[in-house]
Amino acid sequence: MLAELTGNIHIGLAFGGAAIGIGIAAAGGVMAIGRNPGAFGKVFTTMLIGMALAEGLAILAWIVIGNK
Amino acid sequence: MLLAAVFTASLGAQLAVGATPAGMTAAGAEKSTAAVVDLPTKSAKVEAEVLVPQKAPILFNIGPLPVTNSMVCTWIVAALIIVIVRLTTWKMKEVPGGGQNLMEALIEGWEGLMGNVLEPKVVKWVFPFAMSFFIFIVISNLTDLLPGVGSIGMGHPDNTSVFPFAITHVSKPFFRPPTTDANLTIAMAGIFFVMCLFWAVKYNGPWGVIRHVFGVKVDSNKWLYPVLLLLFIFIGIMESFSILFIRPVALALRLYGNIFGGETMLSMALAQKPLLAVAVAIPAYFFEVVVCLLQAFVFTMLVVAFVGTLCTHSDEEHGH
Repeated sequence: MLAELTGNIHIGLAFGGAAIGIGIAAAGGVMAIGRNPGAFGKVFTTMLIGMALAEGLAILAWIVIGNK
Repeated sequence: MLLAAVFTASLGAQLAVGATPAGMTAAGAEKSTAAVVDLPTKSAKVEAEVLVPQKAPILFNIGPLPVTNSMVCTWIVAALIIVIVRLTTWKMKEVPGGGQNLMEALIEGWEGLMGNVLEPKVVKWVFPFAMSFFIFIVISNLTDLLPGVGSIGMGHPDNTSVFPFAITHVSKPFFRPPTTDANLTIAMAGIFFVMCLFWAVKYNGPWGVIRHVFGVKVDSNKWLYPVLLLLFIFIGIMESFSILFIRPVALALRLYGNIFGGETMLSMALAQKPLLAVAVAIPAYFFEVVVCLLQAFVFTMLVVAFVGTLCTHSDEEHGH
């Protein structure tokens, strides 16, 4: 099967990967807070940093490849 | 957007008709007109697609220094911060109320957060630095959502409109959110980079930094030690690549990309037909409020965490 794909597919793939990573981080965070509600602050902060790192790569890809 | 395309296309058609030589046949004239019209329409489309250009337009020059609209906005934000902080802490009271209460809650909250990650000695160095980043980034991100920022400015005059100073598309807005300019975020990441290395050397000493990055960080007997040393040297090379290049670049581009992307998304939403624009823009605005606050938090927290990875003794005590 041969078909031509046009558009910013690479950016879509990068952001898809980042979305999966962010989803995993959020799921882990929710589970951790559910088990130990007292540790909300620490878990939440760490979760946000993990999300930011996952998202950062996608934005890096967007800026490097997307704006030729 | 549509108006801009139509305007430029009609201008192109007029020019092409005017430039047609008199001796040409009607069919040839039509063909050449079509060919010439094609180009301006295309360029108008490209111009209209880029709602927020990556390069901030220059408003005016002070001597040799060009002043862009994001610089003007940066000055306004800085003045706003000075005024707000001065007003809220002008007369400090024993029992805080109003603005003083807000500032104290902000500062104490961040002190607690940093205390989780850093040692008390390092908190004293990092706190004023990271806190100013937070306040500055929050306010400059939120200017993104103010009406008039990015929507009032100069552009091509719109002759079809009934209003006196109508333009087809704002190509030179008077204000632009500071953090949608990559120059600002890269400068902030650069300052962070220098300060991070300075604090690492101040905390560990020059030799200590090298041992911290390249040294063996696990318990080992003397037979296994050379192998582990080789392994940790390679890990150290990767880590120093991360410290010297990936961290500052990712820090700058994350903030810039998020806020720039948000601004573009809002502009695209508002460029739709009226009802659709309202339906798209209102959820986008709520999303952007959260993103603006979150990105300021993330930038500051990552600065703290990056300094924390370099200024700590906990994993070195195993080595000797």
